[in-house]
Amino acid sequence: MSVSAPQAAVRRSTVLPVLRRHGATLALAALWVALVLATAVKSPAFLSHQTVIAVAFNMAFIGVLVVGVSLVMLSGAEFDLSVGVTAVAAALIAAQLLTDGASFAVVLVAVLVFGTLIGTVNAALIVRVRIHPIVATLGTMFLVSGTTRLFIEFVPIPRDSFLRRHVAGDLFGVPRVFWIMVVLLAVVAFVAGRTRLGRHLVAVGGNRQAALVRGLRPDRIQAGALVFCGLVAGLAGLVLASQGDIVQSTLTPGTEFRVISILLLGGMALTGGRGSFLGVAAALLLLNTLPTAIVTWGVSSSWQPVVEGVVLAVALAVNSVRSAP
Amino acid sequence: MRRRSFASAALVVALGMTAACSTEGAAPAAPAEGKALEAKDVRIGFANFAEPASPVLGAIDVGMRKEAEKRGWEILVLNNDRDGPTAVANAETMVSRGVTHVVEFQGDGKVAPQIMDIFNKAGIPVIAIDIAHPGAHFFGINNVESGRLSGRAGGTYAKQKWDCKPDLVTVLENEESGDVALLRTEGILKGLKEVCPDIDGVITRRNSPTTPDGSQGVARDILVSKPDAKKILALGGNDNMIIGTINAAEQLSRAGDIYGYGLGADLMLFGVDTPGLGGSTAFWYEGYAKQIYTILDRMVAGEKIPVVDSPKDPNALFNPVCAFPKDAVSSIPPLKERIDALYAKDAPAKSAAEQYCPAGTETYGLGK
Repeated sequence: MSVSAPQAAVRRSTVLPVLRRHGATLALAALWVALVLATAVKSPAFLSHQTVIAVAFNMAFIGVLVVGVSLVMLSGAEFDLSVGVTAVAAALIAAQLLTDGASFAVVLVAVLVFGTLIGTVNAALIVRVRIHPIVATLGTMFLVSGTTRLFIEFVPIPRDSFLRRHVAGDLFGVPRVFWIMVVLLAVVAFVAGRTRLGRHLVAVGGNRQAALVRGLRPDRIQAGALVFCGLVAGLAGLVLASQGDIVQSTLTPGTEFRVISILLLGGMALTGGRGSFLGVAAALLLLNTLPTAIVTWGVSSSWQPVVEGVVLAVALAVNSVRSAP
Repeated sequence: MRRRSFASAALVVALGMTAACSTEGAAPAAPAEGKALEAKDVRIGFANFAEPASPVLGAIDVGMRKEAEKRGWEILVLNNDRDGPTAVANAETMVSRGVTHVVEFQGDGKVAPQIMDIFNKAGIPVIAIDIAHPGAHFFGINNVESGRLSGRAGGTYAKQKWDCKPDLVTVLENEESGDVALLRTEGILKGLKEVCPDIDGVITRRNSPTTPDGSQGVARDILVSKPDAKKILALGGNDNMIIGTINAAEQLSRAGDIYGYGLGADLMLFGVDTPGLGGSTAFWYEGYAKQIYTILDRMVAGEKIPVVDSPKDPNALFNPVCAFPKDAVSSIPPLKERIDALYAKDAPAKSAAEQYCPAGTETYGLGK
C-alpha cells in the first residue's frame, strides 16, 4: 500500500512539530540506544539487570543535584556551584547524627534544613546583594567545603541505621535512591511545565523585564529557585550517605562539571527561560551509561576521559544543530 | 665638614639599628655542618599540610609539638592550607623567623623547587613529609613495600581460599596522584604475584577517584563488565577504594565471596567496619612525628645524614608499616590514647608500628 501525497502531508504536519520540539532529546535517546546496542554487540552480558542497577546508582546522586540546579537555570539565576559541597556536608551531618543515635526523621529534617540554609545564603547574596551567581555560589562553595574540612574528614555510616537498611535497598529491582531521583525529576518537571508557578519561573528566566512588566516578582522567584536547589542538595546528601560505609569531606572531582554538562546537553539554556526535562533525563541517562559502557569496551583508564569528552562534544554539537532556528 | 661627619655617623648608626631590628627573632642561625647545637639554639619550623582537623594531621601536629617540648626545643608551627603559594609564603616566614631545621608537609609538587630554593639559600636542612622535595630528606611511606604487604595479604587469602584462582582481582589506583599511585600499584602487584604468580589473567587495573562514591562507581562498572566473576579480590591505593569496591559488590548483590585488603588503614582503624575487608596495611601516621624527631636528633647532634630526596630510593627515610588484620583492631587503643601513649614524657622510644603491630604479621621498616 502506497501513501498518497495528501496523507504524507498530513503525517508531516504531525511529525515535524514533534521533531522540532523534541529533536534534541530524540537525538540523545538515539545516541544512547546506539551506545547500548554497540556495547551489547561487544558483550551481550551488558544487556543485564546488573547494568541497570549500576547505571541507576550512577544516575541517582548526580540526578538529584541536576534537578535542583535545573530550576536555578530556568529562573535565569545561571548556576549553583555550591550544590556538590552542600550535599557532601549534608551527608556528613547525616552520618554524624546517625552515629550519635539520632532517628531517621531527625536526620531528614537536619539535612533539609541545612540545605535550605545554604540555599537561602545563596539567594541573599545573589538577589539582595546582587553578586553574580557564579561568584556568589563559588564563595559559598569555598565557605562550605572549607568549614567542613576544618571540623571533620570522614564519618562511618552505621550499617544497622534506617538509612542503610531501608533507603539503600531496592524497589522493583532498582535502587530506591534511583526512584527518589525519578520522582523528584517528575515532580519538578510537572511544576515547571504545567503549573502557574512554573510558567512564572520560565517567564522570569526568559525575559526579566517583560516579567516585571507582567507584574511578576523576579527576585522572589529566583530566590525561591535557589532555596529549593539548596534543599534538594541536602536531600542529595542523604542519597550519597545511603550508598556506602563512609562519607568523606571531599567531593569527587568534577561533580559540578558533570551537573552542568548534563543540563547543557539536555537543552537547559544557561541564560534561563528555556529547557526540557525530557532532554535532561536523556542526557542523564546517556552520560551515566557511558562510563559503564567504556569499561565493558575495555577502553584503558587513560583514554576514558578522552572518550567521554568526545561523546560530550558530539552530543553538544548535535544538540546545537537541532536547536538552531 | 664636622656636621657632615656627624650626619654620616648618625646614618650608619641608624642603618645598624634597622638591620638589628630586621633580624630580631631570627637569632638561631642555620646549623653548621658537623657541629652539635644546644637545645636552646634549636628552632624547628613545621609547616603542616592543612588545618589539623583530620585525625591524621591532628596526630602529626600534636606529635611535632610534644616531641619539641620534651627536648626543650622551640617550634614554629604553620599551616600550608593545602595550597602551594601558601607553602611558599610559609617557607619565607620560617626563614625570616630564624628556624634551624624545617619539617615541610605540603602536597603541591610544582612549588617544591621554589620552597627548596628559599631554604637552600638560608642553608636550612629540610625533611619533607610524603611528597618529594628536591634536596630535602624524604620521609614517609615506602609505597612499593606498603603496597607489597597488601598484595601479599590479598594473595595469601586467594591462595588459601581459592587456590590462587579468583575470578577477578580489582586493582584501583588514582592516576592523578602520580608516582605515589604507580608505586603503590607496583607494590600490590609484586606482592600478589609473590604468592600467586599466575594470576595476571584475572587482574583488572583501573583509574579511580580516591573518594568513596567515586571508587564505588568505578568498581560497579568493572563488576558489570565481568558478570560471571564470583570470587573477587579487591585491592587498591587506599582504604576508600577497597571499601568502595566491596560496597559496589553489595549493591550488585555480588558480595557473597569478596575479600579486600586495604592500604593505609586510616579508615579501618577509625571504626569503619566493612564485611569482607580482611585488613589493611597500617601506615601509623600518628607515629610520624616520633620518627621525624629521631632524624632531627641526629641532625641536631651534628651528624651528617646523606640526603635521599626520592621516595623511590630504598635508602630514603621511611615510616615503619605492617599488614594489620581487621580482627586485631579491637586489640589496640583508640587514636587519642595511642597519641597520648606515643608522646608521653616517659614514652618508650618504640615506633607506633613496633608498639601496635600484632605478632606474626608482615612488616616493613621495623628495626631500621
